[in-house]
Amino acid sequence: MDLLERLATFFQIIGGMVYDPLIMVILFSSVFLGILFGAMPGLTSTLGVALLTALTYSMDTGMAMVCLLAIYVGGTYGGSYASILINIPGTAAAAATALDGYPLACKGEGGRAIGLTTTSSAIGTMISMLFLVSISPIISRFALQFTSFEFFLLAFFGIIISGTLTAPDLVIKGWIAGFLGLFLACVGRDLLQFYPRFTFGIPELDSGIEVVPVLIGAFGIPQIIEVLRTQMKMARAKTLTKIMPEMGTVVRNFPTTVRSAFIGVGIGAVPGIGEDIAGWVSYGTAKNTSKHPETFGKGELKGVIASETANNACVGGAMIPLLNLGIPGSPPAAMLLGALMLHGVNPGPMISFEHPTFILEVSAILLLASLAMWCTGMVLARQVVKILYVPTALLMPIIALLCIIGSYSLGLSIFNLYLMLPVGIICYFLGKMGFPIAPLVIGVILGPMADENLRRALMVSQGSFMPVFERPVSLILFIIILWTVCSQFSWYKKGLARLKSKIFSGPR
Amino acid sequence: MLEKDILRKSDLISGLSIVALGLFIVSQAIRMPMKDSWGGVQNVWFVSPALFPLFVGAMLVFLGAALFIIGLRSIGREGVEEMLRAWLQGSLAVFLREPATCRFFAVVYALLLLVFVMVPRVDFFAGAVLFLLLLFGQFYCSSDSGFVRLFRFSLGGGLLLVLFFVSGADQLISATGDHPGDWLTIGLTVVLAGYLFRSTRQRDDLRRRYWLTLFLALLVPFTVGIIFKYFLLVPMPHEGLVVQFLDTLRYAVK
Repeated sequence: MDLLERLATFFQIIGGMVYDPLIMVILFSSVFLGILFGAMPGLTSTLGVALLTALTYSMDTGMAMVCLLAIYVGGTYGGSYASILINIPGTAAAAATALDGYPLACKGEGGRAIGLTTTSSAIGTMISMLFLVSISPIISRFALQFTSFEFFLLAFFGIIISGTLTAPDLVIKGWIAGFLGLFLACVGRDLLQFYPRFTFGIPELDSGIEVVPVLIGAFGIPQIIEVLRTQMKMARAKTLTKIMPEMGTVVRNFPTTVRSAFIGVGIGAVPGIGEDIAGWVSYGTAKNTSKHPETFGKGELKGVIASETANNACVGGAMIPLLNLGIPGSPPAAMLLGALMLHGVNPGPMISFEHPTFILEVSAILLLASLAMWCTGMVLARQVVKILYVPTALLMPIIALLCIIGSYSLGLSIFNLYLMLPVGIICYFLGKMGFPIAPLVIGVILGPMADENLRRALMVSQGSFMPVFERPVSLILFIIILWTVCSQFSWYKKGLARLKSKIFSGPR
Repeated sequence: MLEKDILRKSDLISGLSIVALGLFIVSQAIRMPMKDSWGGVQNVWFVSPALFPLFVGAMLVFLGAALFIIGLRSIGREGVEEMLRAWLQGSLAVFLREPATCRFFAVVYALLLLVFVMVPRVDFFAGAVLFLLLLFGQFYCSSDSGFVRLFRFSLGGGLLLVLFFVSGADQLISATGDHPGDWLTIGLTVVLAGYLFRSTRQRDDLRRRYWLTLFLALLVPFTVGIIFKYFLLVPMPHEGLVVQFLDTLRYAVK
């Protein structure tokens, strides 16, 4: 498709959606639901997408995507409410927002801060949508040149980079989590020879581990246990004043917004890295580039704008590797991948051929979701705040019940529950011991891709690993993986520092 | 996440567990066909189904061992001795009795009871109402001492349900009357509701919470269940007394 044709199709899709009242109702209600999920500390957009996946099972793919992307966009933005009004981030993505959002609310500018986060989140999502629609064809075309070696290394890179960047304690724990995910992906009959691996004679395990129940367990159950265990209590929320932001403030902060959106898209496109990292990196960049860094942490509007624009821009960024390579860019994107697989859509380089307008559809949904989010945020902000008064002790058992019925309904199998709950409890302990959950989930999703492509590649090369060094993309991926791993060790850092000092000190 | 020094101690245990898991994966993988034939196909090492699990298992052994060494280096020999001494002196028992640990057990127990005992054997609606009432009761409308009593109640009730199903009593009674498991669950729910009513009647704030709890425990399963069963056409995991009643009601209305 050439550019004009793509543009025409894009607007045609938007027109089709706007004129369908059912889609509009689903869009607005999903965005609202997403905002509620994000606003409530303890609930996340990932959990929202996970729970809605079960409800969208019987919908057609387009409608399901409207529902899931809208809740993703709404959930990512909704986290800012609790951050600004009660100083507890509604989601990890909004943690950086609390640093300046809450001081603003204490000054009586909570409404203003929410108005600005709403606007900057909408702009961030729209900019990321532009990236998705413009970069996707290039990546897709490039990825068509990939052979099995590249796909294996790409999957492996996704797990390693996700483990490296999301580990809250030691990097090694991130890698272990990734390999645990790969092990779970090994369960079931292997794809090439149909040999049963780790099934222990249980017929339900023959087809492998169901991804969505595992994801619901990994993200939902630890959250439920932790919130109830710690008896998370809400502070009294600050009152909201005028919400609509002044045009002048938005225009004055536009460079910060655009820069943060770029950061968000970039981080979103890295496999497995979520909105929280985008928020922190963007906040840090805004502070470092500011002429008055001392104002950050005391109610600086730029701080709020930077983190909120970046975390929402991450949504579109995460869609780029998801749709073009089949590698999720963030935990909610991993859930989306599971939902897409349930609907028979296999993201990857072939998506442009199998579903020529799919990426445009996703882009159109992102655009409409960001507009719906802005309208909902502006009109219903005062109502959304009321969710903060709902005790978590009432919400969490209800969420637990939804996790259970949701996991069961995907495949109508009680075995899904036998899988979901133990995985959830194990993930709770892993989280407590400083193991990140995102690499485990990415491992479960990318495991089959890594396994199949490694063996297929070796089959073609008759057991030789030489093509890794002969093919440029393979070699680059291999070097990046090697560098990512080596750069975590002290001997590498010391060696690099010694080399630098030798080069810059010159011959004596 | 735990504090840094506790994390390093826990790394010893998690590192060893990861090594054990890795060894288990490797031991299972070496039994898979490497060079012999499977399903009429002569294998070579690079197409073998064992290749990837071997790689994953070996990496887990290596990384687990590295984690163990990191933990050991951080806390040193004295740290290990101190940890073992603390365990032997009963610090583990103290930890297990902490209120937060009890709350952890209460949530996990309720989830296990619902998933492994009630969902496959009891009508979904009846099981869900009991599950919600139990968790709401423990975490929303009880004082600390009330929580412990309710936890004991849940342990007793759960044990009764397990014994009822494991002993085959449900099969025995079902010969004379339908859905004995459902009736037992409903009975336990009524007893729990009554117990909660009694324990909250002295305090106005808890009394208000009690009525809200009861209302939500009934409303949520019926709303969620009806959406899934009658709108999304998802059959419930176990359809018993309540589903039968709802079906009758539905056809009567139709």
